[in-house]
Amino acid sequence: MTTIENDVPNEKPPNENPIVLRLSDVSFGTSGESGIRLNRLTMTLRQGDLVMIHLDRSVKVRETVSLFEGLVQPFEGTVRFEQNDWLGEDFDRHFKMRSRIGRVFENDAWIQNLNVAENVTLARRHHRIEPESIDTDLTAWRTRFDVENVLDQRPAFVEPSTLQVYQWIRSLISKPRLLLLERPMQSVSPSRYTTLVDTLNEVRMTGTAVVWFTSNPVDASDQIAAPQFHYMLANGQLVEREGVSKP
Amino acid sequence: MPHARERSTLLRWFLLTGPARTSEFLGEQFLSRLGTIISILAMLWATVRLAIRPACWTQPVRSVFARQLLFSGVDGVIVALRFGAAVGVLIIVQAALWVDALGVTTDVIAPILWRAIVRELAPLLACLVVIGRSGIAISTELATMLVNHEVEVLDAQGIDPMTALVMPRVLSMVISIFCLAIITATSMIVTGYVIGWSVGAIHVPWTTFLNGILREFNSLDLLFFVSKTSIAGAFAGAICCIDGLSVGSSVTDVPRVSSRSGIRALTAVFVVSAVLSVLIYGRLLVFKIL
Repeated sequence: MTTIENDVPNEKPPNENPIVLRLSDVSFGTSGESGIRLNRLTMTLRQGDLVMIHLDRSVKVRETVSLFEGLVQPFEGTVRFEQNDWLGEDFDRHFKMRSRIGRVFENDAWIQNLNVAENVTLARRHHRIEPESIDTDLTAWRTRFDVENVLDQRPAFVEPSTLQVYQWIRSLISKPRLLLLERPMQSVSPSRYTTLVDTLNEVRMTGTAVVWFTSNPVDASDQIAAPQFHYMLANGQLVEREGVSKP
Repeated sequence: MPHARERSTLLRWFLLTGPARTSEFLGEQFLSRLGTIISILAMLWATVRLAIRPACWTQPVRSVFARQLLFSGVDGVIVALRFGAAVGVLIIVQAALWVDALGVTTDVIAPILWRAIVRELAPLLACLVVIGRSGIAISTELATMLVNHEVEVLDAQGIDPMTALVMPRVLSMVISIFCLAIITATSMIVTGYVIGWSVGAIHVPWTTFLNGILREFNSLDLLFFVSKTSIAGAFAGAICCIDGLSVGSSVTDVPRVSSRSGIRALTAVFVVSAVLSVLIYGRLLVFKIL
């Protein structure tokens, strides 16, 4: 179960699934009008949960998502992933924790001097996650998303819609426990929505939790399996979005 | 009276303000240099620590290392041969001039030239080749990756940028400089002999010439050659990586950082060379000091 506690009372039924991501009294802000500001936010994300956060198109989410991954630290409060915090200088532990997180970036998502295949499988090869089946899995994901084969091309020469689908594959191929999606449907055809949601429903059945940032109300649909929770940003705080939350 | 006041102001400046500002400037410069040296040593220490951990040598890291070695070392062989050949010709011309001017035989000149090649010229030329071709390219590449958030993408996937970006590049620069220094020295000697023999400056056969050179080679030369190429290479690699990763958020900073890192790496090579000369041979220029 996901709970967001700032000004919003949480009256959802208890959920005993293990906690994947927990933010405790987190205050954070980025500079400029387009940044997200969090004010003593407490949020718990459990296995299989999907949280969709609805934002204005102008809002940049990259730094906030990096906060969930421990790449930047909050002004105050703690962020825990699978009960472990991102504090201290035990960087090996942090890298291992991040290897269990999949992420779709909003922009600047690729290592330009690697080709698409190397980019997509980089984390899995580096962390030696079932290395013998990497190629098979890549082919399976590519077939599933029905995306053209541009594996041997550099990202700079591939069109954005194709690259975005390969970002989905990259985030999923390492079998993550947490998926952080920064506007995953941008650049791609709406016809791919069903495939993405079906895939997310499937990985959530295995315990993966999902945080989905979106600016498109259409992204919230009945195709997403429960439990799904919808929030929006108002005056620096996350509030439940009426009419779409399905606890 | 105004003259007296001006004199007093000047006197106060010379006695108080001037020395204080000079001390402040010198102190700042010293601390800045010290900070730079400490960050270079820290990066080298981290590189060594990561390099000896088998777990760090994952397939992507090995791939980066191989590519960098190919670019810095293998692709630099032709340039090193060309540089070595050109300098070999210069050396043999100088040797012929000395032989004429001093009235000595080539037997006297050859050991001096050999030492100059092994101790100074070949390592320096190899450093020039690698820094010019790869060092600046490394700092440019890392700076561009940082500006384009590619380093963050690596970090976000749980891949240590130090392991995946810095360590393989520093190591490949060390290995490349060592290997290219050997190739440069060989190229110099062979070209020098061929040119010298063809113009009549060298009269001995190749085997005799080579035996004479090898006879002059001692363990101190080997120690100097290995330590100079490896330490200078490590410093050059670390400086290029540090500069590349210290770029601001603007892409317009990248060219400035790249050119600066080339100069800083070359400066480090010369300083390392001078320090090693003092430590190993106990000499500063012609003066015995240790």
